[in-house]
Amino acid sequence: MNARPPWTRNGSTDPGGVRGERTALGAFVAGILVTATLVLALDTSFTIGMQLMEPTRLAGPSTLTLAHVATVLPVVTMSTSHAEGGAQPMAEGSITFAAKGEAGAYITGSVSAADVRFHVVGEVSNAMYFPVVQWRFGGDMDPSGVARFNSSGLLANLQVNVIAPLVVSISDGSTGSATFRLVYQ
Amino acid sequence: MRHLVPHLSHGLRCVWRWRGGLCTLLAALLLTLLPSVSAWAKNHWPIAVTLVQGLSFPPASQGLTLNYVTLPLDATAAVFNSVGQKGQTINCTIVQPSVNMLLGAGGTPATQILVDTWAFGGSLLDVIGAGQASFSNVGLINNMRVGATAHVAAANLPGAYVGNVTFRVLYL
Repeated sequence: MNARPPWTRNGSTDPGGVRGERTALGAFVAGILVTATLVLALDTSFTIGMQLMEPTRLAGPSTLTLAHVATVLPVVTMSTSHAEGGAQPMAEGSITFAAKGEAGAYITGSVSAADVRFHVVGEVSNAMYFPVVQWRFGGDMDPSGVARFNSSGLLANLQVNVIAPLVVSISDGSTGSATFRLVYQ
Repeated sequence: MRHLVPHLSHGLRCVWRWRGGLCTLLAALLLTLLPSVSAWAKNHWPIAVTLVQGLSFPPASQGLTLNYVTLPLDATAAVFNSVGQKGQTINCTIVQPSVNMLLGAGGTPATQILVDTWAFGGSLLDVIGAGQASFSNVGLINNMRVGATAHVAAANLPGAYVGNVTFRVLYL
């Protein structure tokens, strides 16, 4: 006895039969779905823009002074360590600088390294380190670190924000160091 | 009833013989119904998007090769509001993977700044390559925000660069 091909119906040997029906039905349903999708999409056009300035022409040898104003690092209470599960606790702080330079000139701020680590005073074990994961510029600087001296040649609020994950239970005394650099554009 | 069976059988055989034509007929029917489907959808799920502001990057000095990022929550990110079917979720995308902002006609690389890496925020949840949100119980989504990255080259000439982008909203 011959085995009946799986696509046949009532002994029909037409392989295009059932599959053909399914293909046609599938195409029809897909057509409706595509149509419905298309009519429910809405496009809105908008503009993007950027002003690229002439490079700053310094009048002559120009000084640039930078002063540390304040550091506000958080007081962190480690009630939950990372090992206990849940969201990893993060520490976020802010360091503020002021600068004096040529009126109207653009400067770019940067931080010396992205992997500065805080550590507990007196500890040398790597287990007690936690790395800075992100530096963010704020205050007078845009997110790229660009700022422009005002007409008096002052920038009073150059903010460097630092975010670090707390990967070990550390109480007090965590310190770290980094260098903030200003460069005329 | 019995005398109808041969006729019915013959009819079915004809239908089967002409199934290719039937598919064509169904396609034609679908095309005919398109305006009705469209109208039905618009009546039941009207959606409108209002552009609050376009996207701009911070002014930068010419002569440096740098990437400039406007984050979705930055004040200069693109902002949209939308009205639609309450409770419905939408998927928002930027149609173009990347766009060149042009200085004037932008005929040379020195007069083009590439923009890509669209990021979604505000009321949009940033999923990979898109932003998603649901209409409130009064059918509103406000503060849909889009940021991006501009790749400025040292060779770019100074001036005002402008580009056009398409924000697409789609019901999920």
